Amino acid sequence: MKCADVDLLLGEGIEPAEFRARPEVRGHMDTCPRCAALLSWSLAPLPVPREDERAAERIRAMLHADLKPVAPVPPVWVAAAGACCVAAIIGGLSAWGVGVRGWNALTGAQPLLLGALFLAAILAAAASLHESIRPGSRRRVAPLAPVALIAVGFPAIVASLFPFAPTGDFVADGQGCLIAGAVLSAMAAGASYAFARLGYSTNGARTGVLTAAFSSAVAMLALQVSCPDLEAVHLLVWHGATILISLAAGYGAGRLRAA
Amino acid sequence: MPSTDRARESRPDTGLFQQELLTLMVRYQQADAGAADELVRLLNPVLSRYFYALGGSTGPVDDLLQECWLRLHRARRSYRPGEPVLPWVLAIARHTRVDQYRRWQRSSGRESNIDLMAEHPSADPRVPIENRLRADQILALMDGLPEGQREVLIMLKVGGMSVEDVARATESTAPAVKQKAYRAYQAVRRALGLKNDRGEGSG
Repeated sequence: MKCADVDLLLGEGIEPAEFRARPEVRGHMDTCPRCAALLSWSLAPLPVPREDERAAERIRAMLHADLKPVAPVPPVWVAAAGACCVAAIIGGLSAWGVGVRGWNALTGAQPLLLGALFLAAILAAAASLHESIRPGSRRRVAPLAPVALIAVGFPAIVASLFPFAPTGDFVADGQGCLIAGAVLSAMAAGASYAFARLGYSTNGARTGVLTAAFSSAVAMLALQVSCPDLEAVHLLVWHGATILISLAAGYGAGRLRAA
Repeated sequence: MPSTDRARESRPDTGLFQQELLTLMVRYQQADAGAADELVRLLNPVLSRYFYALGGSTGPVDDLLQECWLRLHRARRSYRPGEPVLPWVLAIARHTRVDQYRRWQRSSGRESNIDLMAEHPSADPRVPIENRLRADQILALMDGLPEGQREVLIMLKVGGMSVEDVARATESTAPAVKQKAYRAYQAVRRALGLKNDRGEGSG
């Protein structure tokens, strides 16, 4: 065993008793006073300031004054199911109001890939948001994953599967989609925010962006169901703008709330 | 005035301590006042040590404790039964401290100095090792470490947290925590004037 191995082992966070009991550690410590000194330092307890019993009493009184039963944040599968329900409701409302001409017009791999993309983004955002509102939870889904899925995946699919052939009034048609997308995204964000309030966020901007990633995925799905204009530039500019607006609003709102 | 004896006494027996915390947290969520009191008794030394070790300069530890408990109380439903309690508590403590630090920086305009280690008297090789390892020097040595490394070392020393728990509390990954701890121990070795077997203070 070498001194560098001691540094590595100390960094593993192994229990002090277990660490000292290892034969190779004991052997090295007997011959290396430098590592023995470092081990002593690492095992020395941290000083603790004098306890103020009155402060502890104040804390207890504060807790007792507002001690009501609370239900813990639901498990992740409930969050995922809830996210799918919100998407179904908002998509259903959009279809009920405007129809499903958009989805019916999709051909070949388009509905499959877009459906998979929206579903993946919605589930990833729900799972990541669920982790984001539980401090100290294990991070299984990177917060960037749902954002990347929707912000990179959608333009990639559109650019590869949809024709570039502008038709009709590009601006007038597009503005309608942009407004509808913003409204739908705001509705989904409201539901997502209500869920986020069940927990505690230690990073407002991240939670805001995840809320926006979810809401923009739902809005994109609803737009895709209803909008019959399947021209690539229309989709990239006007539908894609919903993603940008949502993410910017989510980030801004998160930062504002954190401040 | 720090009391290392009391800290040693209150150093938790990791497994039992964590198991007790799990049970108490569930009862606390069910509005059990006794569980709340017991949590305050068990967690206050952990939180005090954490805040104190990371520098009381951001405000008195008692203020941070009070603020942290307020947040823990408001956030108690964000704890999922069965999950380790210490990462949850320390993630919120960390957030409390960061907020306090930002407020303090805004009000004072001061910046922290992270290059103190090389000038620290404990790096003087003429001082015997045993004198360099006095408990009050533990924090002084840590003061010179970069914030991330210092926090990882403190969490590993507070409440017997595992690397995985520290990764959860710091929203990091286990390999990143190990890397920080490794670098921190090398820096401590250097600061104590303890070269390794390759003759390098930094390993």
